[in-house]
Amino acid sequence: MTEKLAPLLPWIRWIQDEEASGVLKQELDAAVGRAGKVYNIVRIMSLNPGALSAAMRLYLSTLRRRSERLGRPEREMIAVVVSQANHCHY
Amino acid sequence: MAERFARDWRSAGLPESTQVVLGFSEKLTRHPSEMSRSDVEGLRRVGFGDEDIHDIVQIAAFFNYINRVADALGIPPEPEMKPWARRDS
Repeated sequence: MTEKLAPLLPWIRWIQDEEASGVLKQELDAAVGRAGKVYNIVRIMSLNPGALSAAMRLYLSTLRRRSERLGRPEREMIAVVVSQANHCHY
Repeated sequence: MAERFARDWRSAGLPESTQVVLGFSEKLTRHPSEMSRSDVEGLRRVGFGDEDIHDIVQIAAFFNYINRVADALGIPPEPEMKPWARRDS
């Protein structure tokens, strides 16, 4: 079985952080505010800032929500199990 | 550590309700067309209401979406992520 190698460079271009403006810049700033840094999953969507915003809003409204029976740890566990089932290392 | 957890969550001594959530999410990921009312009832049986059930589905579906975006566009790993394969020189 061939082991998949991690890509060193993405397969499409992305907008460099320092060249971001408008909606994209807002999203990058928001990402830093949330996580202390911009993750590559945010950068990879930089060519469509509208899609990036929508995806981040979906993330925040589901994973960053808490309820009595479904807390943050359980929500994050779902993410880990799904990613593993998809063999997605990222 | 996340990798080990993902492989071994069934034997990690998690509460039953959590195991049902993770089993549901795994089934949705691998066999989406086989999902049925009884899967939802399984979540209800361990105490989740409609709002939580909806959120569970949204989270699982979101990560299925984001995994595909990452895999299709060749996202490089973050510096702090363990490299998932080493190049033999």
